[in-house]
Amino acid sequence: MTNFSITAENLTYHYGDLVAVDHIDFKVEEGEIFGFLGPNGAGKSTSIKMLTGQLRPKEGKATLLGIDVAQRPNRVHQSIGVAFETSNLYEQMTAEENLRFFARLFGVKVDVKALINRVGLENRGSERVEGFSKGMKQRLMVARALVNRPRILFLDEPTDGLDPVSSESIRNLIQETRAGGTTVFLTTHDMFEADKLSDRVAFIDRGKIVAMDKPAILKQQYGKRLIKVEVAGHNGHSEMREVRLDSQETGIALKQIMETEKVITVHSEEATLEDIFIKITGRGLA
Amino acid sequence: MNTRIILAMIAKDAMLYARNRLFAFLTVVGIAAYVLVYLLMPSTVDESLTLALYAPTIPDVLINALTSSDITIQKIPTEDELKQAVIKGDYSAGIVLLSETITALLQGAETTITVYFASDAPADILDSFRSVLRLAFNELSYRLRGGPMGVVLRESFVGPDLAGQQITARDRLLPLMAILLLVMEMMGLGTLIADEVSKGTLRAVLITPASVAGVFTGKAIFGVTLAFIQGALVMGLTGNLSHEPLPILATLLVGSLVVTGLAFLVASVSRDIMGVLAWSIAIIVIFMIPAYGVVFPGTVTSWIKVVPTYYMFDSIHQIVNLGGTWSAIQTNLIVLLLMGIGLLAAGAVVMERKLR
Repeated sequence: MTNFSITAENLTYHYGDLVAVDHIDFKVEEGEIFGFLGPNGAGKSTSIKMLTGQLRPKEGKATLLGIDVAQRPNRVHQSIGVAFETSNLYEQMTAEENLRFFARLFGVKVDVKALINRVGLENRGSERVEGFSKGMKQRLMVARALVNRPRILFLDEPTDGLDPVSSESIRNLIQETRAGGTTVFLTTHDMFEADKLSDRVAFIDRGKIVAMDKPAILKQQYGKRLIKVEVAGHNGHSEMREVRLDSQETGIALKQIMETEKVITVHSEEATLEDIFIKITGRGLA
Repeated sequence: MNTRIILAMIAKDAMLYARNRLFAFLTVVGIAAYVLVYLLMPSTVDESLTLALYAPTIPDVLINALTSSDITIQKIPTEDELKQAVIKGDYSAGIVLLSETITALLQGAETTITVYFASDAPADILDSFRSVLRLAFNELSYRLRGGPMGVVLRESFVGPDLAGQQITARDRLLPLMAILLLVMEMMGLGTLIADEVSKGTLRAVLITPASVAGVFTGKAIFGVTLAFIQGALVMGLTGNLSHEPLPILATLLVGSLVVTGLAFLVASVSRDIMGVLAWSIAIIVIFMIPAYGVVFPGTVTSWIKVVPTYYMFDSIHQIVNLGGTWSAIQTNLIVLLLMGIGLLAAGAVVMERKLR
């Protein structure tokens, strides 16, 4: 029997007349990395707030580890970690002090230095957070979210605005955390990141989930796989030939190009999650 | 200097100021509040003096003769009650006219009349009474016997014995300084809370097992303790905890409760540190008003009792400057405690609504 860490049933929230999240349903399995994707303002952060008990749903129910979040938020909070989209660390405190403070709130003993090392902030633990770069703060926020060894880790745009090195460091950390059995709920508008990390993804647009599956299946369902062949043209410029994969004619078409034209390069190409999102919603992720 | 640029800058700043809803609101509230305070304060100087009179048998002719536009007379049943009323400040002075005194007055004979003053009555009140009473008895004497008065006014001061221990300016300012520290703490705690809300750290804390009630309790204890320690330090370092330290500490403790409740309220209506500062200054101006009654006796009237700090100033003044004990401040402490609990509860409710 499958164990679900997160269950959202008919989850709805509106700010006045503006419907931010519109009757969404999904389930996340234990140990899964679930990517929750959508453009800014699609309803990702509002969803995460309802799932973590920061907002009480106007309709529907969120259940974490079998516990109704709205009914028993404190019990749920004991088992989850949340890394927020924007830095909300105590800037006047050191990195170690921040982690120790939150460990005390959770009532857990934690090797603060080891945790700081794990997020790549070696030798910076005794420095005040106000002097940290954005990437360092983001890594410390992830460390803070891990302080209670959570069974579910919520990450809200964890790599937004970070340099490639910091982003990669956080992605590695997410994968390590999942390897330890933690379920990861990841909201992002970075489709590359989602594709790289997620076992399954859900697309949210204007408060509704418009597609949800494994990235590979979505690509198969909505995208087209191609082989792009660059050949020398008659006027001296190169020209591009496209051969669609997954067709009975693929082999014949490729053979014909190879035999009749001067081939310069051959590339395979598949749809990205962004292409699929645009195809489904008719708009981009920006 | 380019006048065009300067004018454009002024116009821009005026527009930005007007569009800042907090400051626009505070400007309107400030103007309204200060106008209201001005209108509520007495528009004329109260020149009539209220005199308590103990006279078991007194003919109306004497009462009419003593009553004038300058002096209002209120009869008191016993001499002891008269003394207590003067000590409490219900009357500026009290006189006792016994039967034999009245007989002597009516016969035009020389006699002595006792006048009671409160020991902490300001000098200008004493002088006014002396003049008015002399005038009244002189006039009475002319009416009754056609000659100058044969009355000797014997002054008697009731209440704490302040002979040789007049209150120095610094002692009069001491309650002001102690309470000002508590009020400054209100700003500090208010800033701390507003900062936590605006920077999102409170949000991070509330996603742990910490509950809103737990967070507020922690902040309330921190706020009360910090304010109390500061107030107690000032009193201790100025050598004012040697006499009746417990009533002073109790006053500071319940006073700390009041300012912590206010800090919650201030923080809940402020978005950032500037908001806290703006609200706090508006509150401080009002909170300092009762201090004038201590620093300049006789300058404020009973309406200041609606300001919570009155009870703090008065309690510390009673103990430190007038040698009072628990009995002198127990009503003040009860009022302060109720205000503190009320403000704390109101602040916590408003704050929780803001967060949820």
